[in-house]
Amino acid sequence: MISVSFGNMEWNKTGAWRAQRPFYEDKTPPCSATCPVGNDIVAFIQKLAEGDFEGAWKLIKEENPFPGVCGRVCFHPCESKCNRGAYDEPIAIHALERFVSDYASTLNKKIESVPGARKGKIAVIGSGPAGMSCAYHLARLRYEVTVFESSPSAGGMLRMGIPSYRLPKDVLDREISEIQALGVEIRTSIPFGEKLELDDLKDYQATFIATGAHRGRGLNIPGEKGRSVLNGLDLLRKINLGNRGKLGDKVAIIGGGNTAIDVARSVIRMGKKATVLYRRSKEEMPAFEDEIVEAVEEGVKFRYLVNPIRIQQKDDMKRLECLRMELGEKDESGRRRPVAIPNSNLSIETDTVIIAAGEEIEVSFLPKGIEKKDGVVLTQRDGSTDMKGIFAGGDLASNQRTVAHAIGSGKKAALAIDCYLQGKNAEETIRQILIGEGPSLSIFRHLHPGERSMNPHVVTFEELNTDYFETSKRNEEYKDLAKKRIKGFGEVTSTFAESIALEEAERCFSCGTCNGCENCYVFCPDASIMRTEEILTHQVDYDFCKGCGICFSECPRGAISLKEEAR
Amino acid sequence: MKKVITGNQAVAYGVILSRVDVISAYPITPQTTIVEELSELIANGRLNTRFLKVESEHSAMAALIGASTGGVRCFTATSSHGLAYMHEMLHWASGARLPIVLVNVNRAIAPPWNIWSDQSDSLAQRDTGWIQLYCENNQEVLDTVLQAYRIAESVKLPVMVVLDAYVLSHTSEPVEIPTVEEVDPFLLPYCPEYTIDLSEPASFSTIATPDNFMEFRYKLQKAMEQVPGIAKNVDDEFRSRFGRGYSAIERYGREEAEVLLITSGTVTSTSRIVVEKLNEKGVSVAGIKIKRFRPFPSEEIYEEIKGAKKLAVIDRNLSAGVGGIFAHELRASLYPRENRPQVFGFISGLGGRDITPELIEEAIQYTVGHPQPEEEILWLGLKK
Repeated sequence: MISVSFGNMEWNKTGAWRAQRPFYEDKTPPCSATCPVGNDIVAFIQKLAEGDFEGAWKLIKEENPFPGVCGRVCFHPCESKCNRGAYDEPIAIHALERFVSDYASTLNKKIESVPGARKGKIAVIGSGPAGMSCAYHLARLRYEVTVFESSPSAGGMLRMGIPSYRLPKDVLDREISEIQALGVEIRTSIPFGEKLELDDLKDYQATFIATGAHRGRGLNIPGEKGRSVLNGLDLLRKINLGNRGKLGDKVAIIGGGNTAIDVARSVIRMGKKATVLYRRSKEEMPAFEDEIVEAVEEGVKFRYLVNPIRIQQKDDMKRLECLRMELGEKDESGRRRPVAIPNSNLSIETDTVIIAAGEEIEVSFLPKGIEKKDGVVLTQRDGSTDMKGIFAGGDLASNQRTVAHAIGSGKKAALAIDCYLQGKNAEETIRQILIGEGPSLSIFRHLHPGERSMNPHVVTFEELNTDYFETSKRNEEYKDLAKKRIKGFGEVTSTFAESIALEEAERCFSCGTCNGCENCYVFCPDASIMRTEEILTHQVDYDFCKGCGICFSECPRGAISLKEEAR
Repeated sequence: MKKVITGNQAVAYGVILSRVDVISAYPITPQTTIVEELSELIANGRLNTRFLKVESEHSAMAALIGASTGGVRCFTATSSHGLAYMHEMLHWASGARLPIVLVNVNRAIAPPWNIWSDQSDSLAQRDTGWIQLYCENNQEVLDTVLQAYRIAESVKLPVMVVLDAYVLSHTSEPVEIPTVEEVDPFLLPYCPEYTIDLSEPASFSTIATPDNFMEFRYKLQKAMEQVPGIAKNVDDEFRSRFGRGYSAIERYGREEAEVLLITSGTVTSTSRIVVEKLNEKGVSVAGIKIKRFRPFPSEEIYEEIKGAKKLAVIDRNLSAGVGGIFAHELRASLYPRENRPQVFGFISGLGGRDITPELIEEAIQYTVGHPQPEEEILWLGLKK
């Protein structure tokens, strides 16, 4: 004999016992919170994992017109903050972004232009990542945009500064043409300050200046103006325009940033010997670690803790007189300051000297009224300068000189210009769509109010329930062998195959964003997690939910929150 | 086929041959090697059984309660603290009338910490409504698992099969392992009368008000009362199929004896030798092995002890405040009977201390030499 009841317990509204209430609430993943562009990384990886490559591409394009570029040259701070890094190895986010962009290019899809009348005319000066990003987002906000570029072709530093073995020109061309397809007009060979003045732009309601930082910083040492002493950026520009120029067999490159590495690796590809001279040690080098590793693989030599003090001509050779350095106290950049060791002079003989000791902005053509500080144009948080209707961004207005920061600044300026012209408070508008605590913002949330809303709280590793994850190896992009690489300017790494991209996307913890794993549904002891035949509805049946919190603690990714029930 | 295997392996063979559908267990010494063996077979795809990993013994039994309600044959094994942790669910399994089979490897309950043989763990569960069967050797272990499912499924009560830690669990003996073809006709597939039917949702083990509750317990008791008859039939059939068997109690030694030595588990094997030796010397002693502790075989024992004057009961357990549990149960069952013998209650071998032939002989000689016990509890082999 056993007791069995064929009635049900629905009369017993156990929800009345509840002291705390679970609810679905997406939170900010650390990758997006760190991305200077403001990519919705978790969302696009989820689409990718579902096999919806086009959907993934559209999501990236909501925030970033340059996924093919960023997937290749971004320093991907997202990966260093990836929670998976604390578990085994971070997701190869950059490689996934690149895959999505390259895959989409085979579909020949276009970003849909925004219908409706244009709201006004905007001028953008400079067609680098900042200018083009601004133009792209302005076009999507229904503005008529004209971009003025001094060079014969658009792209700015992406075209002139980055060697094609890192960023093939067709990838750049493809993404620029996608921006043009939105109606953005690009007028090339119009140098600002020469053929174009601010006064010429009276027809435009606002102007965004993003002319970059192209002037190679000098060393202020005797002999640097001499023959066979070149500027790093100039050389890269020449190479990128197809003019290899003449170099001696032995080339010394002075500097430790990405430009120095780009120059050295280009020199190697031209069949010459390259030695990088840097006044601090390897640890202080501002160049990206991966780039340094690849440079060493390709045969670039490095000499650390040497500082040139004089360049002399000796017969056909250049003689670099240097002082040995040692590291002293930390400076304002947090790196240890190089201090010269007295009477430690040494000389290095070389054929060509290339100076790549940083870049600065060109100020000669800037309007008189624009204020500058710390070597850059001073802007407010929204990109506005102290001149009405004039905005600035990219390397011109920041010392955080990365492609991603430039794209992010262009996006923010586009929104600020829209607010300025529509009479809205830009600060407030931006505040509402910040990703996490900012500074990046989501233009998707601006264009689609209420969608993808998320708590600004950034999900920490400790908040994940890692019991549900198995360790796995990170997939790396295939890289050509160094001896093959140095034969030309062909791309060093390859885009993921589809199967590898899917495998890597599967590794994503999807921090803070429900991916429908249904742990909550499976574990709920009160059958109070609601779902249709196919999917979770992200609703809780509060008539019966007792608030035990099991859904909250069993959610692997922190997409459920718990709050005390109001009494 | 005869194989030299440990008691725990004998359990595993019994489970394999019983075609168990679901196993749920949590590891605890000295039981662990049972489910280790079984889980490996399942992992290697050689045993078509679902193994549920759980985080505790309480959950292990809870999972089996669910599975058994779903109409499948279930198994778990545990020891000592694990069994104690299961306590609440043991009541539930019997109250819900589920024929789950559990193997408990007898181990002392701490503190002090101890992993050796002692019956206190299983005997502490005597009131949970489970049938309890104690085994003397590895062959009996295997055979009892097979019989346990037959009995459990006939009376809709769970069965606990009990063996001694190490003396059986980790000691190898030759065991005759029946073939699947031999076991299948003895143990037919489990076909429960009631199971969960998804097309007709129902709540099982729902509330029973004071109006009804007592009748459930009455039925439970009535089911227990059927066990002696059913178990005998099962054993008779087993004997006819396999040529060996195990009754609720077994008497050995001379036909007529003044003193009867009462033991359970592996102590019986040692006792057989002692009794034989003393019989040769002319001591009037015989032995009784108690296999079935629940339901307590009062009738069977009373039949066998007629004519005996004294019972020497060796308990490898202690119910503090009372003494040995077998002795206590015997006293209670004999109280209403005529010509009941004196019960000498010996406690020995707690926490795995050896119960040697010398100690057993000491117990017999004491009983022979005393008209009645000087103490209610007689400590055997206690360090002074």
